[in-house]
Amino acid sequence: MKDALRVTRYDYLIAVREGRFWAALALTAVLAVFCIASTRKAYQVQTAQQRAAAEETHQQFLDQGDKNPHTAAHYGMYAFKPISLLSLIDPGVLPYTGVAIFMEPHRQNTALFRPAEDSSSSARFSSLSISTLMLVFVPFLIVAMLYDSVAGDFTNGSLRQLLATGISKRSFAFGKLLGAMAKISSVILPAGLLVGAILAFTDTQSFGSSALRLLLLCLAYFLYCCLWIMLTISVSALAKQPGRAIGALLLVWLLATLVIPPGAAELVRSLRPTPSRLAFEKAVAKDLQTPPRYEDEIKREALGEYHVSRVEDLPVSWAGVLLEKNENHTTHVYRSHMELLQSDYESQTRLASLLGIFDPLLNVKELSAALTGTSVRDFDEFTSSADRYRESFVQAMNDDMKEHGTAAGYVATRSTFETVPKFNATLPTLSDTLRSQSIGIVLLLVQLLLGAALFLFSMRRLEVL
Amino acid sequence: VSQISRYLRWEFWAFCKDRSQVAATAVLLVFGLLAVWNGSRWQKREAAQLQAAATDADTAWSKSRSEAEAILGGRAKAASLFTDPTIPALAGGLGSGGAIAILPVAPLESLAVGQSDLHPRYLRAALKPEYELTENYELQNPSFLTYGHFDAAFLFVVLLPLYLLIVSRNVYAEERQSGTLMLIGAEGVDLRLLGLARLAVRFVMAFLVSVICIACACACGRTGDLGGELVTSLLLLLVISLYALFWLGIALAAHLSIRNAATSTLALLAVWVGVVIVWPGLISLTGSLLYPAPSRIEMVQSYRRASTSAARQGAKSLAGYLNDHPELAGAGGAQMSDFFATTVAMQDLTESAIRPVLSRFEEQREARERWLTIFSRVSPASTMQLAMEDAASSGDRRYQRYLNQFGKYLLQWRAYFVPRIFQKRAMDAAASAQIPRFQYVEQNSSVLAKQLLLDALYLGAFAAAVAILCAQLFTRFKPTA
Repeated sequence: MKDALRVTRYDYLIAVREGRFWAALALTAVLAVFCIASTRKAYQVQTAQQRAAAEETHQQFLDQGDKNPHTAAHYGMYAFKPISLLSLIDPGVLPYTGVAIFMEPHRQNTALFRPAEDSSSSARFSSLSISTLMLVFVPFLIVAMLYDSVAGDFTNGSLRQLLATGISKRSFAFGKLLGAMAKISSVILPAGLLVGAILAFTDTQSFGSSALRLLLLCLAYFLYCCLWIMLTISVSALAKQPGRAIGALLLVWLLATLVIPPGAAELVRSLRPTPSRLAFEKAVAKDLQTPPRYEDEIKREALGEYHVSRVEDLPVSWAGVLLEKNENHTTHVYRSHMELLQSDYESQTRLASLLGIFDPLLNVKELSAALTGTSVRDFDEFTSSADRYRESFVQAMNDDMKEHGTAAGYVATRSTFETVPKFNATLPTLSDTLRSQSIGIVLLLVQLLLGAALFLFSMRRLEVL
Repeated sequence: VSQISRYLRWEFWAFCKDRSQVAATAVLLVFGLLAVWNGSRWQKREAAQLQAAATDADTAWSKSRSEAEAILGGRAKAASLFTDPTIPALAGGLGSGGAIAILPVAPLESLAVGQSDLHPRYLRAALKPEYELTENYELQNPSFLTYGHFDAAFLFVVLLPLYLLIVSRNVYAEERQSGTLMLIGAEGVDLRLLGLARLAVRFVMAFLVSVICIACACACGRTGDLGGELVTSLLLLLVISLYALFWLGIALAAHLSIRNAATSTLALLAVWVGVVIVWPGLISLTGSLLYPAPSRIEMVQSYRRASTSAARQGAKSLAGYLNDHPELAGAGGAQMSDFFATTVAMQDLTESAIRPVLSRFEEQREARERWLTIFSRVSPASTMQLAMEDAASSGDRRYQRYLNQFGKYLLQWRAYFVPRIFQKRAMDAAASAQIPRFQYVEQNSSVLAKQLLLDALYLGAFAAAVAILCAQLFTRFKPTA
């Protein structure tokens, strides 16, 4: 252990004397701070607007004036998607999903206003975030800083000298690994602390509630970096020449970060196609068509339930009964189609996760989005909770209509509208998130084990002569 | 000249004998063909969806027209007020009717998916607020939108520079480190010309791959306008060539200034990461900081407030509206209790009320776009991306043009239906035949050519700057390590 620490110290000291270490440290810190500082203000403004709008939409519903309960339901409400503080680290799918859903009777609307549509292609194709830095840029830094960690010792003869001092190959290997981790941590940690401080300063309350997610996110990024560190040292040891090592490592980096992710997305799209909007809407419209004698069946059911023989004798409003049953039908149709679509997306995402066995970036990207509350699953949960809320307030209005609609010209008043609570979007809990990411987590651990095995193999093959 | 041609011949054979270079070129070609294939599949899928949407719209229209004829001829009766196709408000899309306005697939769209995966391809013209009508985006897994597409734009913007940097690694640095460059120089070979010949061979290889990819893209999406496609393709090849020259210049500069082969490879890759990933990202972030995206939440809430206020006024809205538009009020015309007329009047009043908000929103968005477009020019990678989207017609420019035409079409649509709604003129066959139809007018090919020439000019400036740098470095060039 002592020998390993000697190697670590030697390695670290050499690194801090090199310009590339300080350049990497400065560049990482500047980029990270710039990424978060430039989006911080937008987050604060959007969060404030979202909260104010959520409050206002409910107030507008209450203030709409006395009217027929069903007309009141048609006035509708907007559900605004809450923004997580950690989206400053990883915006995930936020730019590609709508920010508001209009909730009204008879239909489940899709979310409106995707931020990416309001920005240009140049902004889209050059988007930079902390997660991009961690998933794409930091692996490049690892390769740039460590490609000669063993190969350099081979060529300049220092490996021979080190082993001649009696250090075992095992101590050398662990010393190198610890040294590499120390170097990379020294480069990333200052940037990480600055980012953490800015996050805490941006929204103290949300920071406290997201602390555990943030810690797990850091752990995921740390494991991802460990994987790259082990891979880089292994290739450096196997290549034995810095030139060869850098060539091979850059090829791996290029494939893992730039080629495989869009390639995997194309592959999954073609293997598991999802329906177009047109096909989806046609399928919904087909199922919405009520069968012949649908109304007769409802009538028979209602008459049976209330033990009367004529609609006029019903103790409740027949119009209210019809609206309630129709809403049940449309909600069922929309929900089943939406769930089918969401399960299609989930199966696509699962397949992409499985492809992540070839590329850890795919899994860690999904894990990162899930932990920051910006994954597809988080968005689906938001749309589902909006739909449940939509159903509840529409049916509350229909119930009121059913109960009081027998009186001619009945109108619901503010007191009826006040029975509708405010909308609170439910988001997946941390355990739900981790459960949904189980495949990715397992694959990442398997990749770490494979990385460790490659590292041990490369160190065993270490020959001085 | 004979010396140059001799060097070129040597270097060509040397390139062909180097298995790693040939493999890299083959990989680039395979990636290129794969990218075009992906793009062409996307193009075909989009075309098929547009066809399906058009067929559906035609079928629905024919059905509603035959129903209207039957009702007007007394052969049938509408099930309810809201399903009567003879009512102009319903034919105009106050409910679910309306017509669709299609943005056709461009011939070279297989080159770059661009923003076409985000923007809806067809919009419904109806008597509804424009912002609601333009939100008809395609359903797809948002997770995959974050990865982008493996298309020809990705190939040329991201992978082509990498290919050039990889195959240029042995221009000088490796031979200088091993000492063979000095030996070659001692044989009387002009090392400057030799270096340029080596770069020329690599440029030709990249150019050939580009020609093959663009030819395949043209073959996949060919339309009647062969001349226009040919001009666009040639200009795109010019843009790609200048971009390739910029990167070859960067490679040469690194070889001339860094003596260690591994260090020069690393430096080149660092430049690549900086130019392709970091620099455009910083520009985009600065743009977001200086010109934040306008708030859609604020816009939707403004609309809500205005529509609530108009609804509160109810019949007063209609009265006020008719006061402003006396030409719409006439004998047998709209009554204060007319639902459809009131709805249209309220919509118009709402839209007038929020026009300042919408204008502010548009101004903020345009200012942001202007900034980003100008500063994108500071990055060769962003300029190349814009050029690809220009050539493929899948970027913001064509879509904005489509939205402008759609906006004008909506005005025609309203101008046609609103008087009919107020005057309660039934939608008979003659009236249906006069409904305005949308036909997207493609921009003049000379405008596209000018855009591509502008892109070429910017990239030419970058390439020239790097060439000047290389010329200066050549004066201090030494063949020893």
